[in-house]
Amino acid sequence: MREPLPLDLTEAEIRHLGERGRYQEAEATYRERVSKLSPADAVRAGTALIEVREQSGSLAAAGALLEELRDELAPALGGPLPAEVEIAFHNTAGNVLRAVGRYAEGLDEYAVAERRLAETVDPRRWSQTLYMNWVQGLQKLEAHSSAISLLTRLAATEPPTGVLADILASVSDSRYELGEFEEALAMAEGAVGLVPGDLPVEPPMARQHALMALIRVCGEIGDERLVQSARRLVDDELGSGNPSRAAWALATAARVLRRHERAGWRELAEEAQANVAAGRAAVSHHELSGDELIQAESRLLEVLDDVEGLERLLSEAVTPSLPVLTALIALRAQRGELERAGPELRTAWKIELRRILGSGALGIGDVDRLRAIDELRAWTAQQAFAAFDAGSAADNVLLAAAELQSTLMGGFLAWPRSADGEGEGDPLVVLEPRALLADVQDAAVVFAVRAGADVRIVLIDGGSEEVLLRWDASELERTRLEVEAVTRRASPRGDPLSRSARWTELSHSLGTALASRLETDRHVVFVMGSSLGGLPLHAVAGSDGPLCRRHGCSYTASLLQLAGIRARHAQQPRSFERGGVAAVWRTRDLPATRAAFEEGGDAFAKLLRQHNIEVETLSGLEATEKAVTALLASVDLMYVSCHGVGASDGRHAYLVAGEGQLPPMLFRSKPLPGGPDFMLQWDELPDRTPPVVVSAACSSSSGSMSVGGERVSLDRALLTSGTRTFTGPLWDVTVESSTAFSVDLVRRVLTTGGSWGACWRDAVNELAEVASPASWQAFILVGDWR
Amino acid sequence: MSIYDRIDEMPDDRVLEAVNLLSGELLGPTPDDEVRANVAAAVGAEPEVLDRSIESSTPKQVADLGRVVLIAAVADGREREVGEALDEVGQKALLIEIVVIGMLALGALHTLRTRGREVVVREQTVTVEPDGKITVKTTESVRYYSVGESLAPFAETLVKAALPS
Repeated sequence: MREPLPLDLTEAEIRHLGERGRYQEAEATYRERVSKLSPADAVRAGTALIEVREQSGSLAAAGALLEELRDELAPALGGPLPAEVEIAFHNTAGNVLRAVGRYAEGLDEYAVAERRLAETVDPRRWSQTLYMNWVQGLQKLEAHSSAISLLTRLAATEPPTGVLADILASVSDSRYELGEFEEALAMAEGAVGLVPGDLPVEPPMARQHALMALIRVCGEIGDERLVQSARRLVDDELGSGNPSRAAWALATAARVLRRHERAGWRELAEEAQANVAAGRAAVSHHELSGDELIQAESRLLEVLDDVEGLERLLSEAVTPSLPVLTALIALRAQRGELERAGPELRTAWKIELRRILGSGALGIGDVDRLRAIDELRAWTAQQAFAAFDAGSAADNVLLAAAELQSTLMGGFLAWPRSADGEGEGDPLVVLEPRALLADVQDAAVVFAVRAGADVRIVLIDGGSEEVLLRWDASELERTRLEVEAVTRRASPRGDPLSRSARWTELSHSLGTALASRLETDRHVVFVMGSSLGGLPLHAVAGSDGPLCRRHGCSYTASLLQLAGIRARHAQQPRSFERGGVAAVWRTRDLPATRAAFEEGGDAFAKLLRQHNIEVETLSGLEATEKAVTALLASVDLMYVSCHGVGASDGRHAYLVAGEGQLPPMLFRSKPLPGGPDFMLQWDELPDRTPPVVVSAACSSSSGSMSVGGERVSLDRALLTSGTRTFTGPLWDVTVESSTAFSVDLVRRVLTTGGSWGACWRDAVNELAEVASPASWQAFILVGDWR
Repeated sequence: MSIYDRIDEMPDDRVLEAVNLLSGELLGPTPDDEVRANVAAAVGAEPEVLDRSIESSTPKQVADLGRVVLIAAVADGREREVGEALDEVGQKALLIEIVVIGMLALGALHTLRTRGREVVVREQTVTVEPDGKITVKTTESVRYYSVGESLAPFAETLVKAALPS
């Protein structure tokens, strides 16, 4: 770079030209001057140019420019730039990447900016701008919980009124997406209260944002206050020249009034129609984007009960639009004609599955991305029930609906991945139940699908679906809660399940239905889905004892997950070369308990060595989180023997040693800050885990459901990271029974070469001879049973 | 050793584990959230206030509440069940979470209070001070516990109803 100018106005010139639409001149100015600028001024000018291109709406151009300028400015960015300059560049880069749909990369840019934030002269201004952008990025990634956490921190910085309204509206948006409508309403009301119509607001969009948040949530819960909010929004939007958004507000208000059979909806709809016409004109003149217009028009046609109009809109679109599809499906549902909505549901799912699963940014921590598709799931199940009742048992329509209600992201993540971590599975395979069933021809499959209050528990054994039971959804949920309560508080010598009358009823009904249909020794796969998790279905009572007496049983979160595991492991050897053992007790466990942990670990290690498997053992203080994680990542058969955590609040963890400390006896839900938490949580497990994990830790097979309907558990995390077979107890059991079962199971597999499913059955039945139901009923096998 | 001495001499973590086991007898299949709602309704507090009260108590105070629960169960004629719970602690590899078991302790007290005693051994009296100090007099001795100020208002309602005063 040459001699820097003392006062540089390049940035101001670029912005000036950009505001007048003279983009080529702005870019020429930058290119002519950049080599003469100081590093800081060069970055300022480059940032301004990228911003100008982004604000002009030329996102592709902005994206290309970013890539080019980032390379050009790389030497400057790596040097000692003023913090504000560097923050501005990375913030802008984040905005551009977010705008072009590269959300995760955008968040990385914000993270770089945040690292310099503490050094700026005006951290409050920057933190508000940066964090609001960050929140929008998180919302795009549907990481709503993280967004709320960030916004809560931001709101505590006492920002100006408009900014606070914007923050509250964003919290409302995130709460809405999480289905927490009461909280969303409170936040939206707070936001609207901060931006009265007769005062200027900074930033100007804060008022519209607040009003739209309020309208959206009022529309969801049927609150008629949205009519007033819609009016205000319409006034604002018409003032700013956006008739599409005005039409959306009016149509949303009209929809609520109509649903509640209140007068005035027709007038609002007519007004919306006029604004749709104005919106069409603006779009045809390229003054507005078409997305908002389609949203408004589809909502209006839904209000007008105009199926033909929606069909026309759908047929005119170059690519199918989700708002149109959902409006059309909603209308068919209202008319009781969901059985005709099959094609639309399928197209809507294709869009959603590609969006959610095909984004390339899916990670193990993603559990709440699917919150917004509850309605689609419900319609799909209703449509499946209608199709099944009409005689489509052979088409596996119920299975397709059940899979879409299941752990979609965890299932998809179980599929093979390329070297750079991208999923290689086809997200749309979940729509093809026959493809999923092709790999489980050697087993009977039991799953449940729920529509409203109706749950159907279904068997597929050889092709067609057969409904075994119809159960009330709230009764089934209550049964699960009762099973959780009686098992967690159970005496280790007791029979806890017998204390739940609801479980007993379900057990007898399902056990009897299954016993009369299954061939002897037929393996049974229970798909936990969204309805059957936490239930020890292998222990249901048949005519001659528990189901597992005659049948090997295993569990899977979904058939999508099972198919993915099998695809991943198809080419891998089944033998084991290297085993790992981790045994951890607590600081003041009874001597007998500590001895059981130690001796269990020794017995397991001895068994592996007898079969020429090299073993590494971590015992007591050696088994820190870091050491256990490293061992998990380096062996192909792992035995974990320690205390476990299975909490309905989503904590599923192994209790391991801290540095130089064994885990304490008592735990608080919120650990004291700064100290070790002694927990190796499900989302802290390594990216590569062993093909087989045998877990003796209490409750290590327990799971909970995220608000997005995703199973959260140790098994989900392991099965997405390389594990094909996992076994562990559903609830808290004695150390002795856990050790005895684990060693016996693996001994059978190594000695007989039998399948994990058959060996599991024999080991459980052997344990049942000597141990209480509180112990033997707890052990389940998850994943591949072969 | 009397059952009261066993309860007093047992470490805090094992007392809480015993309360967990005893709650299996007393609360049956009632889910945790329902236990919480029932206790909150009984003491006239929001469930969140109960959570915070337990969270702000020390482990020792929650364990003392557990000891009072075990004694109240003995007074209810459940000495055998309490004895079995004390015998069985330490066998399960469970995580003892203070807030969860604190709530079960309050739920157990509430159940003892409301179910009516079939066999009441009226050999104790109890007093609860505003600062959470609880005094239990038996025919053999006087025993002192402290559940702290946070839990005192709920303990007063539930303990005094579960034990004769």
